[in-house]
Amino acid sequence: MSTLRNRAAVTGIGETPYTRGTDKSALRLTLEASLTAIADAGLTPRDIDGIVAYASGAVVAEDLLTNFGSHDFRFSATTPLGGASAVAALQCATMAVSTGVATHVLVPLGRDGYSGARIHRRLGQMRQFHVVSEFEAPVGANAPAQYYAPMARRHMELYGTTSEQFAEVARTMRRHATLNDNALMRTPMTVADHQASRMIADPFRLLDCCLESDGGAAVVVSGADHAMDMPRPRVLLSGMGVGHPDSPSAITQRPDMTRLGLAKAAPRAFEMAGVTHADIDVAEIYDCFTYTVICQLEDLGFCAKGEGGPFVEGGRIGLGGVLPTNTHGGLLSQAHVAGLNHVVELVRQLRGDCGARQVDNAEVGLVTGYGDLGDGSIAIMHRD
Amino acid sequence: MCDTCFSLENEWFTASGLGRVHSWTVCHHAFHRGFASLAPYVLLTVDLAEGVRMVAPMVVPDACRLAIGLPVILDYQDRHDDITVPRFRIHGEDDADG
Ligand SMILES: [Zn+2]
Repeated sequence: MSTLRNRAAVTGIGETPYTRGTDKSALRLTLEASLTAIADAGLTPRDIDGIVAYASGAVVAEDLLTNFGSHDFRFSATTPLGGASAVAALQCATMAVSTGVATHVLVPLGRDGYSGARIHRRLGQMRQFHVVSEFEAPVGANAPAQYYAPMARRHMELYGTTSEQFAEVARTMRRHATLNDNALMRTPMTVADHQASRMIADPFRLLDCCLESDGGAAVVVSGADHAMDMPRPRVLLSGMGVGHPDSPSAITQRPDMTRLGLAKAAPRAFEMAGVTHADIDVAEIYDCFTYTVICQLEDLGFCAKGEGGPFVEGGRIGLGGVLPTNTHGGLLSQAHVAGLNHVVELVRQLRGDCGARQVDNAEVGLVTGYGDLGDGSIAIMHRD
Repeated sequence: MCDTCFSLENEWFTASGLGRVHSWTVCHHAFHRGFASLAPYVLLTVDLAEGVRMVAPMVVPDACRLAIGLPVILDYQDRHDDITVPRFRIHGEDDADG
């Protein structure tokens, strides 16, 4: 049977500085990150013959083609999975380059999420959200914190998960961010700081919620054979998957609110990659809220459902722990680039380029995405 | 369409208004100015007896009394002449209007 395993590699990565406040447009931020990633791959913009643009973003492939002066563009797609889009785009790009449809596919993402349209306004306009817009917004559910809080509350009630365990996630991401020059939140945080932060949508406090920020990130995905002759060490895409929740009209309608689409995608990705959980040296897990990290650790299979709270205790997800997680600071403390910053960080870790926050001997890692309605995506990568 | 038998037939009927708490949140921060004067308000996610889930506020916003499975019943509040909103109260209690 044919497989996507090791058929493609991430050959270029790029990020802009992340800010809270910018006079640059989302397109400008996208172009800056793309130029960095394309140069990192040793290519020029005209070598890019495929683009997987961010379905929820302001920038479409045509905007980039116009600026690239492209003459032989061959593949354009989107992966409309909210925050799971960026990682799902890696699978989409792999399908394109492994079949010869395209050679070098760019996955770009730029947003002015702090200075421009705020995220909850964008959500209200997404057609996938019409059940929420019609039935839940009119009674006062108007933002992601309010949609996700009942998932977290149910997890707490069923399994005894605590706010202090959420705090452990938040302070670990913050500790990692203090080691990252391109992270927005670099003041150390204690569990007490977390517990003292104001309540937004119980059980979520302010420090359970991710940032909104301005910036761009981009990666280039190339066929594995081409990648042999490209300048940076090959980081191969070995296992990928996408999973959707049952009844994806609204979070409230899911049969099991505490289980995400990732629970379906993860076993497929691990099987494709031919690795086990013990092989994973570093994990970049989509962290729109602290709770979503705990839930995904369970859905990934690092622990059983309900055991994610205890799993994050004792430094287990910090640098030096058994599963260093979100080594860049994540959406909680680095920046919110819809998880493409998580992809960039995983590649950087597997290249060994992370300096003070480098995981020793990082050879195999995974990155996840989590979309607004529970969509999950995963990519497992390894260095050559 | 019915997701079991794929029938396109459907009909309106009056639901019992009975349900059980599935989960909840207490909204301290209002993300829409229309709800600012109500905060903090409790939003219940309720398993209706008829088999779907529904979100609505709790008449008396007292999260301390909530638990998964707590029986609740729907009632309605006329907020303005032309706006009526659904709310849940704990079943068997005649709560003062919140
Ligand atoms: Zn039917």
